[in-house]
Amino acid sequence: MKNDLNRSNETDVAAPLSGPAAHSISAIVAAGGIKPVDFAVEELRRAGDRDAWLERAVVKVVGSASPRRLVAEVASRDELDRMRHAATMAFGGATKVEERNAALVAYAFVVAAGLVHHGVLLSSQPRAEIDVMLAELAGVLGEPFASFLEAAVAREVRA
Amino acid sequence: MQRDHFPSTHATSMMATASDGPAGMSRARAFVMERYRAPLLAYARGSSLRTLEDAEELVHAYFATRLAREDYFDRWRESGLPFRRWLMNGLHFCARERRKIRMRTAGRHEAQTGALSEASTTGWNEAERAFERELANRVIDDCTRSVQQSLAARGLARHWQVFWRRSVDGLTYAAIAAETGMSIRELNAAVRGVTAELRGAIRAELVREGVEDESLEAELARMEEALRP
Repeated sequence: MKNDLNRSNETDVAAPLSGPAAHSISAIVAAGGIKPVDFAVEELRRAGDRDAWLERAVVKVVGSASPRRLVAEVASRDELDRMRHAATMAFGGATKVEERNAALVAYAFVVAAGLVHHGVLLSSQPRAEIDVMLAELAGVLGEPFASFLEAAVAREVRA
Repeated sequence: MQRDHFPSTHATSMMATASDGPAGMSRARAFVMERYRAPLLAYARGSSLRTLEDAEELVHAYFATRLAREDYFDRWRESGLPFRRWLMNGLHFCARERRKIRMRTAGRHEAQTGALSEASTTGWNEAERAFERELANRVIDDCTRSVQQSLAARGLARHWQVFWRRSVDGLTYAAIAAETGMSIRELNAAVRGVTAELRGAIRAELVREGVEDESLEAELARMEEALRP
């Protein structure tokens, strides 16, 4: 699909932006500051053993479900809902940035599990924001976590 | 007191440019004409000025008679007004002056001057919205062009394309990945990179106009609001 006033290609630089395109870009730019996931990514970058950090963070927030289990096993919808609730509460109640980061990463893994294993978006956040959060975390985690998060981004949601 | 919707603009880089001898003054004037012509036209067409004179002629006259003055930028600085407000007020004074001249030429008495000063005391009205929209459009357009060209020069034209597909066309990462063969991580890095460059370019433009650091985020939000359909 191409816009009527198209600047999607480098050859189209001379064309003026259409009103809707200018608005879309201004919205992206205005919202493009530091996001909560950026703090988690930064902490993960600093962590010596990222897998160990991830394991501790997720288990601490959602109890018994380790990130490896969320990747490999199909947790039920009810179980995922409970975990998501726990992560949301932990994020809201966090008093330190480390706690907030752990809650956010746990939340991301639960939402990713919902997408990968059930094809549902277990979040009230817009899909575009969820995709960015998962993709950002995928960029700093090793396997199998990065591929799991990427698979979640690639997964269409069931109607 | 009525809220001023315009950011503070005092010691600005535009002022610094204007102070840099005749060549600097010339650059500053060229910048004002390039950047503010369309917003001023939108303002003239949306305000009470539209009943008095053709907008194109009025804005041209403003640049020719006001901006051309040697002390134009000094007077702006002394006014303490945000530059946008200074421009809009100046346009009203210019219209009033020209109307007086026309009246005199026609041998008639000056009348209805009250209406001409109306906009100098009004707040966030439709004409100002039109001005803001045009200005935001111009800044976004210039900055996207500059970033797009810079990416192409570095062999990163593809990054611009995926940014566009994501941010303007509204496609999901999954759809763009299927379209381009790029991984989700590559796509995200490209989109984040282009967004960061655009933010940097637009923030630099706003600083150039005199928006202070602490007001930049609010100004970005106001631009988005002004461009909202």
